[in-house]
Amino acid sequence: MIAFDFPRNLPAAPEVAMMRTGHVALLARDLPGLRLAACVEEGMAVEVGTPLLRDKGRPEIRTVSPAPGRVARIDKGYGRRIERIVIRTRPDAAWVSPAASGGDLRDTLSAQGLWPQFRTRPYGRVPDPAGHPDAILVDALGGARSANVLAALDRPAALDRGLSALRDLTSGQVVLCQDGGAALAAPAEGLRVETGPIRPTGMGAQLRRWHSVARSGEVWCVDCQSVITIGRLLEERVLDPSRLVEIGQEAGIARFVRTSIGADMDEILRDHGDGACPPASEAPFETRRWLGRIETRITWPEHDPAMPRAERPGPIVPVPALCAALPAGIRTIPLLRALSICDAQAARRLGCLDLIEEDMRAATVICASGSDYGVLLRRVLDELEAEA
Amino acid sequence: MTGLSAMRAGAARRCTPYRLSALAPPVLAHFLIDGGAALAIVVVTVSVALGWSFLFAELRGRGPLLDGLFPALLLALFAPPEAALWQLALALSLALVMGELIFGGAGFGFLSTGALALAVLTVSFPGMALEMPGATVLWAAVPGGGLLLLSGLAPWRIVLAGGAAFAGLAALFWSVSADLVGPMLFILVFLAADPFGAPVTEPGHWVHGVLAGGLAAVLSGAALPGLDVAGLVFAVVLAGICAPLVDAAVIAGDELRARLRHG
Repeated sequence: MIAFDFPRNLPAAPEVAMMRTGHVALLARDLPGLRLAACVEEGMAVEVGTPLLRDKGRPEIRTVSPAPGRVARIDKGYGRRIERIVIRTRPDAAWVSPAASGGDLRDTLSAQGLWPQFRTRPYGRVPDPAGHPDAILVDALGGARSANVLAALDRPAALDRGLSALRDLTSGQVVLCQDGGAALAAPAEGLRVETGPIRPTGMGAQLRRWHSVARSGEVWCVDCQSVITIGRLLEERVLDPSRLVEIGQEAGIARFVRTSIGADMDEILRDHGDGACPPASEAPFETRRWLGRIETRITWPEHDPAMPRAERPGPIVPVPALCAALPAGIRTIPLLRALSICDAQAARRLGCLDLIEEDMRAATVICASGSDYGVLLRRVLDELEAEA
Repeated sequence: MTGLSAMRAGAARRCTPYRLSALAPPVLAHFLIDGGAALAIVVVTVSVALGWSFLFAELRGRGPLLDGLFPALLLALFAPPEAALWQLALALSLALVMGELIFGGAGFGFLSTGALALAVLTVSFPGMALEMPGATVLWAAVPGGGLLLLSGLAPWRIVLAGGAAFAGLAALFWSVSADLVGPMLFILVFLAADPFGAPVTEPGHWVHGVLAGGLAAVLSGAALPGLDVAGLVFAVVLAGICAPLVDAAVIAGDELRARLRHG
């Protein structure tokens, strides 16, 4: 999101209870670039770790159920494409599962449904299980009080184990990216820990700084909590798909909830009386019900009456705040202009391969043009990917 | 977010209100000094600007109406007393329609419409000397200029580079006087540092400033240490014509550097 300036200097990790929601859902939106086929049918009983979805082209890429229960429904959209699988959960059953973790690391991660936690740059897709990235960037951003960092402080051994496993996936370096604060892991052969805050916050800026793919190469990004899950899988032989999630308004005090991937956020917010959640029509971005695969922060920007969504298409006004919304080294205004007219070649020359949708949010909010640059960027990336 | 950073973040969306409120104090000061004549000029230029904006908004089914007021007010400030109202209306119409509205409105063209209107007035009616607003009006423009610079709507690099280039060249080949500081700053902040008539990259801002300031010294050199407003305005328009080229050069330079670094 835009700016997180509220104080994050409280040291201790808060005690958080596990929240088990009545429903969880796996979303096709979280599996970009995959053609999905269901491994289950409506009404089937599932446990944690039961395969739910697989890629038609590369069946070894699959996702597993994050909770025990029964498949309530499989929603399909345009062209009978799977949009989501909703599971009615059993709160009394075990929400972790023992897992065999011997053998090849890639096979283990695929079999346990952890492969889709990785994202490629460029294009922001689920990577090929046989691929060798030039580097792997681990997202521990958000400052010392973010969910990622607190989760890492809670399980340092699992993080270390996960990071060392990542080093086997790449011939280059693993870079642990933090926004200030003490280093979460000790640097080692093939592992760099970068704690200096880089503006703007986000993996796009980190990538641009440490290993740009604007001209060539491929880098994978993965979030810190997924690395901890991988570490626990390898170390304790247990698959625990739960995540620590930060809930709060941008300028307010955040609170933390541990819940599973795909948790029903309506239920979590309602149980805690967060009446502040705005109705979908007023929300600046899609207000969504289900917790995403790699989401660790649920926020809704405070309503600023002076900053409404642009009612009419306006010009791109070149102001410094807009230029600072994209990572350093990218000429923001020329890139936004290239995206507005879908000039893929110009956008590629201006460095758009380093970016994915999430990096464009600040520019979308600040710019007066009313364009959603995330959508425009995706259109250009799709075109470039088809050419590549 | 502090007040200043909130203002800077909102500047893109509040571009027209910020720019108009920056011009409001000098226009009021102009009223107080010149009285009825100034009022007639402002009424005519504002009506012409609103009329064209309204016509194009109707034709295109959408469109902002108030953006055209900025060049209208600038023209009213610089209008020479011998200019007839129809002459002002004609110059403003040409500049607004050809420099802005046929491209889709303010921000879609590539020239500072205010500078273009002044240039059109000088070119179309030979012998008409643009008049620099008096000292009171310039002082009244200080808060507005500060607002534009602080919010980022007027890039400070252009103002700094333009002032330095003008002073340097003028001192080297002609002569300078302290009386030029106010008018030059006004021209640089309100005309040369127009967000829509300048390059959009940071190195481009420096180049644009040097170009505008240097051309201003060259074109108005004969009159120095006096003031040739037409020369300054043409310098801004010429630099503005080069702005897209400057941006393209900056991007090409980036690409060359990246290629040298990565092979």
